[in-house]
Amino acid sequence: MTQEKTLGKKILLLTVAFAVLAAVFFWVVRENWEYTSVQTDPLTSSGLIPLAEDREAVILQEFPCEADELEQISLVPGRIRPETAGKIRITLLKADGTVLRTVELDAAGLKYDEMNVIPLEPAVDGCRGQKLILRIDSGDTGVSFQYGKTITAGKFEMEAKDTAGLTVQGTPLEGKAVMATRGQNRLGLSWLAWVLAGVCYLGCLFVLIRTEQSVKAQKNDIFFMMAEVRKRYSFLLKQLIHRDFKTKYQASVLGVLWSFLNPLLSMTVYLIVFSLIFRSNIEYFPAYLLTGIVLFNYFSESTTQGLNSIVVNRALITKVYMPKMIYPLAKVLSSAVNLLISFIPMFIVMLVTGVPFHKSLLLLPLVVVFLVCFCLGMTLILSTLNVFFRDTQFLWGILVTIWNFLTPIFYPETIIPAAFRTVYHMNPLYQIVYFMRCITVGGVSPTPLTYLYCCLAAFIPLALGLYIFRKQQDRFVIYL
Amino acid sequence: MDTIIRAENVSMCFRMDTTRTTNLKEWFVKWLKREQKYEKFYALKDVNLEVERGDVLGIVGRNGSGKSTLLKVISGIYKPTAGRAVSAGRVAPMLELGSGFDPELTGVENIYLNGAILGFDEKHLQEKYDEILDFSELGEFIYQPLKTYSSGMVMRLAFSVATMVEPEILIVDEILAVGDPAFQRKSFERMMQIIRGGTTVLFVSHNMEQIRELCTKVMWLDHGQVREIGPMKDVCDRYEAAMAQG
Repeated sequence: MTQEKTLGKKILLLTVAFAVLAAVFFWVVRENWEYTSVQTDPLTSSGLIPLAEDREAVILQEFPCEADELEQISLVPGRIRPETAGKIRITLLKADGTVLRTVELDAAGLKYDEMNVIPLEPAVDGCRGQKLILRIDSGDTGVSFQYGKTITAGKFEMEAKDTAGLTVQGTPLEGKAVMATRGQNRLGLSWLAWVLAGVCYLGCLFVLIRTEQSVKAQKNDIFFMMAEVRKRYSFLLKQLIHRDFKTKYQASVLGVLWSFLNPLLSMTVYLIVFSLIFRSNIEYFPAYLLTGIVLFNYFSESTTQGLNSIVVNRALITKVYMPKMIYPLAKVLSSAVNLLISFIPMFIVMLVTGVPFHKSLLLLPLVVVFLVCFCLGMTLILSTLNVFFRDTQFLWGILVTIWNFLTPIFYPETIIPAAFRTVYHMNPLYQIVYFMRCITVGGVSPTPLTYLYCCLAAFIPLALGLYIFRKQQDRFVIYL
Repeated sequence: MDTIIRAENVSMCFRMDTTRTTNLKEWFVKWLKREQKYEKFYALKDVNLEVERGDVLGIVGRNGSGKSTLLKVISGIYKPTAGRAVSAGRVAPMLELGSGFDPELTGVENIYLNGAILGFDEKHLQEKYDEILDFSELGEFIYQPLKTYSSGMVMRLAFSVATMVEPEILIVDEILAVGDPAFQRKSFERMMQIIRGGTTVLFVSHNMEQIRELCTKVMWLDHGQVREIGPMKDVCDRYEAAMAQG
């Protein structure tokens, strides 16, 4: 009777907790899953579009519309003679000549040699995927616009692919006007948040009820065993985490403060080096760096320490029976305590450098879950390998360094040539770091697709690690 | 009487050294040469054993006869290559000097860490804490990091934790000589107390005097096989006679 009561209580608790979490989750992701903003980036200017002064100046620029709702177009005007006056008419046309919007600009009101945003009110709807034509009737105002043939990323400059469609006074000109567009795409996926929460809820409910049943009936199935292991070894796990954490900074003067200082110091080094080399145009560069550093430090720390966890504890493993997985698990979790501490300096840097705090930060626990699962999977694989081949620990040191360069920790992702992007994105850490930057520096929730990638990045290595470790663990004692 | 440990046809077979490659280069070279041959070595062969609750089983035999391997199979560390071994209670080994301890942690923290490693929960350890501290005679030193202890103090603490937590099955592999003579006497009395209290003990020793004093049953292992198993006196007499002959 009492057991049923506690089960009822547990189910109630789970339901309430999930209802609250699902509501919060929906509130955070709704806007970003309903709409995503899309923007196209401008080319690098190579000068003003040449206009003959004795004729009425007409510039036509074809461009693909990439947004469901096109909200604004930005151009860079310039003077072709010292004094400019009059009105410039800007017309947005469909390929068949239908006029969509007409905007008049006053030459006196323009900001020259910088981006001028031209809002389209109301937004142009339903042209996604079509070719649109931007017609600029500059007339005799003495105003031209910048155009170019290359794009700049970091300190690299490369040929732009799509430089067609510019026509000046009836003759085609190679290059493309320096223009940017901004708009929104309708995703309409916010309902997915409820579905996901529902699926997770049902999964947890199933495990809870099955465990309760198995424990009650003393049935020797996986649910019963998991409950037993949890009951018997959770205290040991706690003790091991406590030990790892406490002994880490033992005998150092600053102690836990190092968890603060370490990421801050690496950030400073990168900041100095890369602000000299890259002349980075990344927004909030210190915060961008620090988010990457904090996550990557965790990856590198937990895996390099965890891969030794079986070998280091050989004295115990060969004498006392316990699930061997507890050692790598303890290492990964004690490093996670460190990770949580290093979020504090990260928030401080965000605050100091003026990164706005958005509600998307509430998704931070998800990043932690993804990262911890991924690192646990890697650690399980590596610690198994290290039992059989002690070379693993030395090899891994180099691989971590390579991995550091393959992940956009201190450089902008845009320096990777587009041809390699697909392969580049297959790096699980890339996805998790990308997610992290979306919710911190970007201030938005990533799209559902990124959630999917992050889940794959976290749970495939975890499943693989569990499989390999369980399959090999009985052989460990012989090789230790 | 109920059986607490049962081993049926347990065999433990190791591969001999030729395959124990622990670095990639060696492994690769061997793989290239197709030299992955190995010899089999049976540390245990067809061992049958039943231990009843409250028994004190002494295990004797020459070096390399498989005593420690058998203990490891019983405590679940080795998975036998054939046969099966089941134990119905919590097995706690008496750990060798310091292997469950961390030198950076204090005595108190080490009691909890070591207790947790032996498989006990927080509540049980809290209940036993005073007894452990009392028995170890460490007093105020218990709040100091273990690295400041003398080796005698560490051993006293290890012995105290292992025997005070009252496991159902205690495995003792040659470590009764702990501390000064006074503590040795005390720990021997403690062993007797545990035995009288109904804990099942598996005891490996070359000290026949201790075996005779503590055990109710003795098993004689010879080259991985059971030579004899039976009441303490009979087996001990014959074992000592055989050893005397060489």
